[in-house]
Amino acid sequence: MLKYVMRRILVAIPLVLGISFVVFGLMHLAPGDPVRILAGREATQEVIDSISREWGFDKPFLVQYFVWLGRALRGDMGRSVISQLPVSFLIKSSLGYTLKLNFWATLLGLAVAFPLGILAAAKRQTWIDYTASALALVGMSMPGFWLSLVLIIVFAVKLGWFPTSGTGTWAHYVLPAAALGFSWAAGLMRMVRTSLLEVLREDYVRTARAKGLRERVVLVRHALRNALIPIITVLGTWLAYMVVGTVIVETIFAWPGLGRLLTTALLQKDFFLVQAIILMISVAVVAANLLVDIMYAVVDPRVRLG
Amino acid sequence: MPSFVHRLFQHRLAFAGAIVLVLLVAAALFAPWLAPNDPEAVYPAEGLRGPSRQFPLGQDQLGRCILSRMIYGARVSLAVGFLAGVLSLGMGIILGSLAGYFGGWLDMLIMRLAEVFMTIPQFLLVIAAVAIVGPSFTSVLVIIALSSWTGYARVLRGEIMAIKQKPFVEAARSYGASDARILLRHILPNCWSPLIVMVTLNVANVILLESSLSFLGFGIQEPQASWGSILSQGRSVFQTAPHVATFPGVAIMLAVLAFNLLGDGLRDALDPKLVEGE
Repeated sequence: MLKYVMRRILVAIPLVLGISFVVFGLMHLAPGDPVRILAGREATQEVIDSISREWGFDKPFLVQYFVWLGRALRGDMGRSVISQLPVSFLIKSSLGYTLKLNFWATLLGLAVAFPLGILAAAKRQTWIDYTASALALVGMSMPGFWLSLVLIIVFAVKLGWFPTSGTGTWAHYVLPAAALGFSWAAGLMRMVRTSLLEVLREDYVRTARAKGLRERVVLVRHALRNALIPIITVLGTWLAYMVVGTVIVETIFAWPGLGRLLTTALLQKDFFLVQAIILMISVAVVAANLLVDIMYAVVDPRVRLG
Repeated sequence: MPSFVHRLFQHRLAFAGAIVLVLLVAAALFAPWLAPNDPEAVYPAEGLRGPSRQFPLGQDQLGRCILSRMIYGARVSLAVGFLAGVLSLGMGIILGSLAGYFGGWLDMLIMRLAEVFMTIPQFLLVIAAVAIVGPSFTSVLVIIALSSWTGYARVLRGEIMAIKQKPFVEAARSYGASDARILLRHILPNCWSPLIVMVTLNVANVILLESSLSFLGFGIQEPQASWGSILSQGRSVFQTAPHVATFPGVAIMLAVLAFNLLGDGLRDALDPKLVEGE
C-alpha cells in the first residue's frame, strides 16, 4: 500500500511541473513582451522595467520560468498590480469563503444525488425513475449562470425568502449553494443510478434476494457497497466541476471567494493574481486525484496490486 | 449499419434530441428569413419592453428584438460548438493515433501533455487564455478547440492499442502495407463509434462553455449576438426585466439537452451491451 502511494506521488511531480509550465506559458500567448501583460494595462514604463528586472524578464524564456517557479515554490507569486497586495494574501483571505460555500454545496449535492439515485434504481422504469432521470438530464444541461438567475428571480425577488447576494447570515448561503450543488448532483445522481443498476444484475444480488432478504437490505448492504467503487472515481471530477460553478456562482452572487477574485482579476487584467489562482486550483486538482487514487486502492485491492 | 440507425430511431429520447437539433440548425441557417426583425436595429425608446406582437420575446436595453437576436445568435453558438468539436476531434485523432500506433517516447510525451491539459480545469485555462489573447469569435473557437482534444486522444489511443494486436493488422503488415495505410484504412475505421458519442457530448460541453464565457464578458462581444452574450445583457436588468435573460437561457438548455440526449442514444445504439434497465 505504501509503495502504491509513493508511486502515485512520484507520478504527480512531473504533472505539477507540466501544469506550472503551461500556466506560466499562458502569459506568452499574446504577441509582445509578457511583462506588459503582467504589469497591467495602466503600467508606466518604470513599473514595467522594475517588474522586468525583478522577475528576470530580460532573460531567456527558460530562465524566466525557473525564476518564477522558484518563487512560486516559496509561496511568492507576486503582487496584485491593482491593490499592490501580495497575491498569496488575497488568495488566503478569499479561500475561506469559497471552501465554506463549496462545503455546503457538496453536502446539498450528496443529499440530493444519493437518495434520488438509489430510489430511481430501486424503482426503475416507474414514474419515480423517469421523473428523477429527467430532472438529472435537465440539471446537467442547465447553464449554472442561468439557474442562478432563475433562483434569484424566484426566491429572492418574487418571494423574498433569501437575499439576492452578499454574505453574512446562513440565509446568504442557500441560493448560491443550491445553484452550485444542483448541476453537480444531477451528474452524480445519474452515476449512482447507473452503477447501482449494473450491480443489481449481479449473481450475488440474486442470491441475496433468493435468501429472502428484504429488498432494502439487498439494496443498501449488498448492492450499494459495490456500486460505490465506480462512484468514487466520479467524485474525483468533483473539484473540476465545482471550479467552474464556483467562478460563475460567486460572480453572480457577489460572494467574496476565489471565483469572484478570479473574474475581477481578469476584468482588471491583474495577471499575477490570475496565474496564482489557476496554479493553485490545478495543484489542488492533482491532490484531489491523488486522494481518489488512494481511496480507490483502499476500497478495491485489485487496484494497488495490479 | 442499418440496425444501428434502427436502434437509434427506436431510442425515443435520442430521436427527440435529433429533431430539436435539426430545428435549431435550421433556425441558424435560415436566420435572415426567420427572424421577424433586424437583430441589430435599435429602438432606444422601447427598451426592456416585454413580449409584444412585433417583438414576440420582448426587447433588450436598446430595444433590439430578442427573438431575432436569438435566431442569429444560434449561428454563433452552434458554429462555435460544431467547429470547436470538429477541430478538437481532428487534433485528438492525430495525436491519439500517433500515441497509440507508434507508442514509445512519442506516446509518453503526448499522454503526459494530455494529462496536464486534463488536470488544469478547462474553464480556467480557456477564460484566462481568451482574456490574454483578446475575446473574439475566432479566439474563443480556437482556444476551446486547443483545450478539448485530450479526451479523444486518450480514448483513441486505447482503441488503437487494442486493435493493433489483431490478426488482420498483422496480415496487412505482412503484405507490405505502409504505416499510414494500416492506420487510415485498417485501424481508424474500426474506432469511430466511441468517438462519435464523444463528439456529441463534447459539442454540448462547448456550447455551455462558450455561453458561460460570453455571459461573464470574456466570450463573444457586443454587438455580435450569441446566446451567452444576450444573457449577459440580461444579467444587469434581470430583476426588473427577467425576459431578457430567460429566453436565451432556455435556448442554451434546449441545445445542450438535445446533444446530451443524442449522445446517450448514440452510446446505447452503438454499444448494445450497455443498454440498461432490461
